[in-house]
Amino acid sequence: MTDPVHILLIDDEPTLREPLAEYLTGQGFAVTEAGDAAKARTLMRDQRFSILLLDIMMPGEDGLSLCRHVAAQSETPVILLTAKGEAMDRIIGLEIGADDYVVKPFDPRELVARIKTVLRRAARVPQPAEDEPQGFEFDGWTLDTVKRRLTDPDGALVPISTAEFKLLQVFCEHAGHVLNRDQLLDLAHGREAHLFDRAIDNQISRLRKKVEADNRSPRLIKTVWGGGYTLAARVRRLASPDTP
Amino acid sequence: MSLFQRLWPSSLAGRLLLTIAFALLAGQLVNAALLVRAQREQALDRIAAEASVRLIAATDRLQQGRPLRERFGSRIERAPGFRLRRTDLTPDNPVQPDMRPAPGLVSRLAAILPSYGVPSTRIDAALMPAPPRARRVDRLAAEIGGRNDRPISKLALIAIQRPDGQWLSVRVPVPEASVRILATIIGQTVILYLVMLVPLVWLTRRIARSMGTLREGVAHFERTQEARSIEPTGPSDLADLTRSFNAMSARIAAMLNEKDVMLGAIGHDLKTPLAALRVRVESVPDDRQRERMVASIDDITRTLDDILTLARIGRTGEEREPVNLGALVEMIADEYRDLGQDVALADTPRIVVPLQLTWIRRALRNLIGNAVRYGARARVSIAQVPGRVSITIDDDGPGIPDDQIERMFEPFTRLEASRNMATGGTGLGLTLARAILHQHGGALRLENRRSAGGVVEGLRATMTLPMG
Repeated sequence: MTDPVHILLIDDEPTLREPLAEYLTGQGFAVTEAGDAAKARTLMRDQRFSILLLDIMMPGEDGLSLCRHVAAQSETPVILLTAKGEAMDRIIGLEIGADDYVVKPFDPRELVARIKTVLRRAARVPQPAEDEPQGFEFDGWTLDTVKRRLTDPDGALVPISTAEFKLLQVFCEHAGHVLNRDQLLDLAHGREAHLFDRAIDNQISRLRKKVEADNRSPRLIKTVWGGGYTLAARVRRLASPDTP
Repeated sequence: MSLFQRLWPSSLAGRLLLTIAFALLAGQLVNAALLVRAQREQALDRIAAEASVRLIAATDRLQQGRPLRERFGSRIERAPGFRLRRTDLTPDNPVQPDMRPAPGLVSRLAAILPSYGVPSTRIDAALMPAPPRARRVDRLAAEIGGRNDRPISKLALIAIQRPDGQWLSVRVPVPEASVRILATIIGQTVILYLVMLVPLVWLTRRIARSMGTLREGVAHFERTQEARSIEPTGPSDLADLTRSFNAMSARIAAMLNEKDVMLGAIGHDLKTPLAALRVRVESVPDDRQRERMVASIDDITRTLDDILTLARIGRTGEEREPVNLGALVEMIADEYRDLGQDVALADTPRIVVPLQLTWIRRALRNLIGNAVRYGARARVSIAQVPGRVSITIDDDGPGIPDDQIERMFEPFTRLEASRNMATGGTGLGLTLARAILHQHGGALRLENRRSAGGVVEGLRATMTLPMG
């Protein structure tokens, strides 16, 4: 990994594009700028980029369309730059193949952190999109991993935090296995695990409150004596969350 | 609710029908009264006619010195019911004071008799009960008259005092008031009801249907703010109203769309330079300066977001979905607890309400955020009452002066400017929360919590949402 990370930055506004390119260069990235989607397509034909930073609202072909094209044609990860913070945009952004998004105006340091996270994930999982299930079903509950939602057996949405969601996803992926705290932390939060260190028992208890009929005698998320926790339910992987 | 209010229908068709039914009934009652009266007058005329003929004949006999009754009887005396048709000459007035006087007969006879040269110094008339019919007559009458036969129950007794002081009197059977007339009126009323009410029901239902379509259209527009043309039906007034509504909703929808486009453009146009500024700020070497600049940019961004959100409430395509509201409240309470805030949460039952999750989450965050920011801590409870669910958020802060509470919902209102500086609100939190709840058909109320002694102990925010 001696090659510098090569970023293709696509934004029609030079007032943002130029200082951002400057900043990212200062952070040790190699940055190529493109003012519109057409220029970006030309550049991508000739070079390989490590990652794309893509503005959604652009004259001509917009960012979403370009993102779809990139996701279909290559494995280059994409981070969307968007002016809107609506939930719908997030869903669309992730469904059309973007790896992450930041909402303008963003903290540039956070953008750098996101770039690194996305690159790390891309390096670790070579073939993510195809085999990854769209959701899980256990004991009547549905965990939609695309829209990041939990639905109870009666079809009502159960709002849960991102941390709880990740934890539940880990349980579903490893149903029947006993996971100790360290494994749960590592699987759910990766390198940021140390931030959640103490919270894992707390998160388990919050999760139980939401999915267990009686959280004093849990039936689904069971505590294993001396070992850790396990999801004691048959889990079905869903190709599409809408057709369980 | 009074009995009247309970029986009085609320729909247009019901009211119209009931009013017309009542008016018709009143009309028929007047009609019936007039008919009965006319029938009575007619009966009096007939009695007066018979009485005068017989009095004239009797006076003639007396003047010619003939007996009052022929040996074999006159034609009248041989007529059936003769016993009831006696003619008498008595020294005293046969009309007793306990009989019901009949002034209508007196006045009629007073008009007739003098013109036929019947001398009288006084005329008296009254009604008296008829003697019971002999059984033989009864049987005969039943054979002849069949079921229509009804025995005479009343007689009119008419007496005139002759100049010699003697009283000449006749008895005339009073025809029984016919029950047929009542039956006729009832039948007539029923026919009228059918003739009038059937087409009326049809008409009012047609009007009601057109109005129902219009009402649905209005409700749909209110809910979605999408102009959907309603087909003008029904009478021309209603069709005109529908057309006017269509035009109005189309114009409003166009204006709202314009507003959306404009706000989207403003949002994008402001956020991109803000983002550029945010990136450039990173190159400011002085840490303190840089942090202040970042804080200012964050402030602008937050305010901009709130303004854009406020303008977009009810305009997003987000569908209402059944959401476990208890779990939502729990999640938001956990968020604040993770930030080290004091949020107490009572039992959270599973209450499923259809709502736009993003928006209600925002309203709850604003309210709980206010409580921990201004009131030190938040105590949240959720309760279900028939048809709705209410979430109560209590804090232990200084409350809000009663006369300022309503003003707090206005955009950019803060209680004191100084407090905002320290706590950093945009002044749109409550405005947004209330707008979101109204959009869901719910409500948001603020009130001061007081101790038994009337001292303000904190503020209570109550949000209610309909269950369906």
